[in-house]
Amino acid sequence: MKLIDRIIQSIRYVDRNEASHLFDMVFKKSGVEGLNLSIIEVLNKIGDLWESDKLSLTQLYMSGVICSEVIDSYDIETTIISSSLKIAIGVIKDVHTLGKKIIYSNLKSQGFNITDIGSRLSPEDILKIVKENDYDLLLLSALMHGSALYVKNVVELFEKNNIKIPIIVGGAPFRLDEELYKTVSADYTASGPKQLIEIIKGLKK
Amino acid sequence: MKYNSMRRVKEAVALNKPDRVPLFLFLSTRAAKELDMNLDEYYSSPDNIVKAQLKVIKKFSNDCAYNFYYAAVEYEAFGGDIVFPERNSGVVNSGEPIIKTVEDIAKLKVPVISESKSLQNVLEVTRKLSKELKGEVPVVGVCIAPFALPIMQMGFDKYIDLIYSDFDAVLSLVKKNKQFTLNWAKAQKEAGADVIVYVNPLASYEILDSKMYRDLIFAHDIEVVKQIDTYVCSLMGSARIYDGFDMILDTGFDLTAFASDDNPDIIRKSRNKLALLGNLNANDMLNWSKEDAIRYTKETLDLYSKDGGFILSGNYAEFPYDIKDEILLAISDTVSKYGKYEK
Repeated sequence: MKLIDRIIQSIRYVDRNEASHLFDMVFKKSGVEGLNLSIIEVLNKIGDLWESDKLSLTQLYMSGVICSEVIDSYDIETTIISSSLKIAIGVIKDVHTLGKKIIYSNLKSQGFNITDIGSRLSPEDILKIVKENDYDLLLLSALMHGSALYVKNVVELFEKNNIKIPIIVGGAPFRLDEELYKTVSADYTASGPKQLIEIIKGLKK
Repeated sequence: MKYNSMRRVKEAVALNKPDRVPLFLFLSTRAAKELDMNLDEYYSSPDNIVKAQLKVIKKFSNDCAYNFYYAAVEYEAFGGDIVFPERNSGVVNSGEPIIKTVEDIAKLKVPVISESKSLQNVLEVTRKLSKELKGEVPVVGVCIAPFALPIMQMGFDKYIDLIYSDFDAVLSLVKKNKQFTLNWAKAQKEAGADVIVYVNPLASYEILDSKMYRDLIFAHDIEVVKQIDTYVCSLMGSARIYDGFDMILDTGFDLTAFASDDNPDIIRKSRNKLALLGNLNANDMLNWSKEDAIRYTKETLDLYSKDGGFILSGNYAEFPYDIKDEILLAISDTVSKYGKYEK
């Protein structure tokens, strides 16, 4: 079995020690860049498995956790810059942060410049944070349908304040109703990390 | 004997064909709309919930009364905070997790149902609905599975971390939750609940891999479900059950909800084994025209109701607040018209 496939298998079984050992083999053989590339490849394949129902949500979450732990254990900066965009991710109104954490750890591990701006955010909170930090892209996650509807208020506030950055939404309400992102006037929706990365890579600064 | 909702539902659960397909509209916050109240005012008195439920049974020919307040009611009993939405279309959320460290699990006390105001309110609603409806319309209650409660108690991410790092700690928490879930289900039954919806998203292969569920959690669910002495309905949130159907069957449920995007082959798997409840997409209903409502209802009836053992409902235990009357009425009219069984 190829090393990458062994790593994926260890992540599937959430075997942290084995995953860490295998990633270390990559690091010793190919250095920082090889490690970063292997993490991207693993997370892409994990994303494929999840989107084709071959992996559960908890395994998807743990894949991001494990890859983040691996990167942290080497105390190194990623050498791969996947996008020049300065990205913010937050949860609107809800306290449920799982989706945000999945996306954050996945994108961070793949070399995106992403900042977690928190949860239970009101549209006013989001406006303030985006204005102060000059983000290029906003990712908003929601679990509850009622919370998802608040995205429209964010869009309206951005328009009033002349903030022109794309908003990508995700989470259960947007998966259950594929048109909901249009109803709340978001620019895009993504069902998982893989689709999200494809959208981000298509955006220009 | 004339058909009422109770007889209709009992025959469907027994995998038979009643006069027509029963309809379960799970209207919780949506029912508040009937009284034209804000949610905090609505939930301030059990009488409001009773009044609204009786109203929606009549208005939409609903075959069930729903005692449900909000998902966080059990979390509230454990000492957690709840957060009311600023507007009615929002949901009542659980606040900050009450378990922040593994040590907090040992300190957690199993709520005494008689001492919990929020649970007592639900029981009062159940008793009053049961009395008003005189056994003619089933009262549906809800309890959250012991392994699902930690999603609110800890936050889902911290809970997943614990599942994979210290399963013994999870088991010590679940031991307390099992005691509570059983007490809570029994209390609702005693108050008059005829059906208990057992909310168990971790049983879905979409949420937790099936092997892990089968090896570590399945036996606990069997133990709890077999002790609930009334109809018990499996519900995995809005997640799909398809691959887990046999485990649902073996758990001892009397019926199961299924997702709007579940594999339609579930009808073959369930035939002569287990009644199905579902699976209109409640979120999509917000965008439906009246014609859409009629079309989707007819399609769902055509797919799942032919052999009996079917209750028409949504894909999870709540219909959003903003669904228009005309949509619910169109669903109800379509069931009355096209959901009839020939005798």
